[in-house]
Amino acid sequence: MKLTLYFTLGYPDNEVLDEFLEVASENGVERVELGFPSADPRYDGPMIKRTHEVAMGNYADQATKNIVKRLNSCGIKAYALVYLNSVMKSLDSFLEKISSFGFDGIILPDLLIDYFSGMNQILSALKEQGINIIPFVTPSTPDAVARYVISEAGKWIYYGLLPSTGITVPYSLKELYGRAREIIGSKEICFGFGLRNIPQIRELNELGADSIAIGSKLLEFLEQRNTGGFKAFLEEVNVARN
Amino acid sequence: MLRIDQDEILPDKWYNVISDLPEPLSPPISDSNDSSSIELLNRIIPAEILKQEFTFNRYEKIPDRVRELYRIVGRPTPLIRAGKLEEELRYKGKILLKYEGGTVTGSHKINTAIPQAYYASLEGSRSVVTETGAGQWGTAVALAASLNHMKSRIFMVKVSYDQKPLRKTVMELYGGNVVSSPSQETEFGLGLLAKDPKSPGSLGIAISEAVEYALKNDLKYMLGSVMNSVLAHQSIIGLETRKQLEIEGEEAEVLIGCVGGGSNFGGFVFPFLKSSKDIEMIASTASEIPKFSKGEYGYDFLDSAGILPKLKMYSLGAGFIPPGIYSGGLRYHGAAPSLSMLIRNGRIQSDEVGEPEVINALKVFARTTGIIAAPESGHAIATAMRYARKNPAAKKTMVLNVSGQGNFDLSIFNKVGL
Ligand SMILES: Cc1ncc(COP(=O)(O)O)c(C=O)c1O
Repeated sequence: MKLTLYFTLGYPDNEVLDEFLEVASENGVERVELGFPSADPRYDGPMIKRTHEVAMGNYADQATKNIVKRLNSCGIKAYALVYLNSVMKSLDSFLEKISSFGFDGIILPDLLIDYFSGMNQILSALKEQGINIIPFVTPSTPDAVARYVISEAGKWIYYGLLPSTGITVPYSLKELYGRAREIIGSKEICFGFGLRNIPQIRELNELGADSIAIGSKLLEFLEQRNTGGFKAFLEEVNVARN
Repeated sequence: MLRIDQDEILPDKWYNVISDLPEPLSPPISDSNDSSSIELLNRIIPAEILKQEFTFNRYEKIPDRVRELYRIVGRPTPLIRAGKLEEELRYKGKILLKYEGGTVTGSHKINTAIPQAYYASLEGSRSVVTETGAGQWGTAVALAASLNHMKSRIFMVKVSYDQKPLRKTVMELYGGNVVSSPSQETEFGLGLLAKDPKSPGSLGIAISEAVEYALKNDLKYMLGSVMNSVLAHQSIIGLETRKQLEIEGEEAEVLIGCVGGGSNFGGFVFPFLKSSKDIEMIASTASEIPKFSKGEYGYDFLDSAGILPKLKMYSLGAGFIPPGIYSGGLRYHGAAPSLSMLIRNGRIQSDEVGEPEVINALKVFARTTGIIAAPESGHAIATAMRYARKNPAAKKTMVLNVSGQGNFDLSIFNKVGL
């Protein structure tokens, strides 16, 4: 099972982020998802929301370019996570700018929910810049909508476990995995948005999931600049996913 | 009356519309960045209800115990041909009534009160809290709580509390404990009373009070409409109707119901959305509360105090105090997000009827069907009458959801006489 890690660009600051990415690259991480700070990261949980606030002041294009370059040179693929609400005013120039950064694709968590009516236009703007879309769907995405964007899209699908963050829904991962498979078919699915602990990771691995993404759980290490704890956690994850 | 094989008519699963919607439903959001109002749901709503609220399952099994209680309270409800009403209106098609007033508590509200109370008691609750407008919901909660060996506390909107004293007696008879809202029992209520001692109250205010009370006393809260889980429970109306039509060899061509928060309407029509035929669906609201024509489509609070999360829906504003019409159940600023979306994209039409026309429709209805319908249902009836008069030769089979009976609302006729 592949491992994706989520970081907010510029959090807690550019140096600490670099150190963490270094540890990630030495510990078998296959993909990194980099969140562009947004003033309204509305579909993230309270903890990730806070990172956006802090990161706003630290973000720099040059730092992002360097990060993606370094990740790529270690064989790690990088993906941009972007809230459309923060770039919609100048979408084309934003996409043009990041198209040269070296990202392997883009994740737009608010596309289906808040920009559904303009979706086709946004998809063609991405195509024009040669940027792959990684569809982000959740348990409450209607079947027809999920099937459509999946047919339009790229290599893998990001499946959010929680329909809305903050709610501790007593889902059965098995049921959820079955449902995701039924809609997505044989394309690669990455489960994330709500993965918190090792037993969940082990269960997804046993169910046959292709990949997982971890985000909020890393914040406790980032906040305290605890690269040692982060490394130990990655080692645990690696055991659970192999 | 259609009472062939009840077990065949009573479904064993509820239907949830979320995965069949044309667009993704926007999730509830918190006003502040800390998502506290969303986390709060975890504290006051039974876990199983939350799961159903955000479910990815199209069908949810109805627990055996809930099915048994459904039978006790009078499900399945009858589907009745209103032949005399057809004659009166000179309508060439058929008019069929799904009569939710036929349940023991007198409305569709019992359909969701039973499972909510069942899950609350299963998760260890001994008491539940809720609000009520006209009193139909409170009555259903009072009985559902007692059937599940729990107590209930009910905040009743002041205008209705004053208009309908017998309602309070009924709720108490069923074992409920009723307070007029705004009340002295919550900070929100006290604040409102200080500003306006004569406040008529509203559903939005009563919801705020009930939630505050539930939080303070660590109790489970039951919501009577708007939420996906409630509309899913109410799908029993549409699922039964579909089965009954099938047994009768009929096909629905027009579906009409009334909308307060949207639960009886959504529950009635959603199971028909995937039918191959283009069934006309008309949601009838009060002209006095014109949410679909004058409301805005966007995020707004469920309750007046803004304790609960915001939902994307048609709304007249969470602070809107509706005029004191008799249809207490329609005095609500918003409407269920799924229904709002389908109205906005044109799949479902809407109609607005004012109180005088409703009173007249209720009279005609009583004299041609014998049913004393609830004022809320009177809106659906009036819309159906408009439809029949406008399209006398249409020959379309119309099915009308009569959400409740109006024996406790007879004072509506005092104003105009009979
Ligand atoms: C008889 C009756 N019909 C309709 C309603 C409106 O609610 P909803 O739109 O959720 O069905 C109510 C609400 O109290 C009611 O009591």
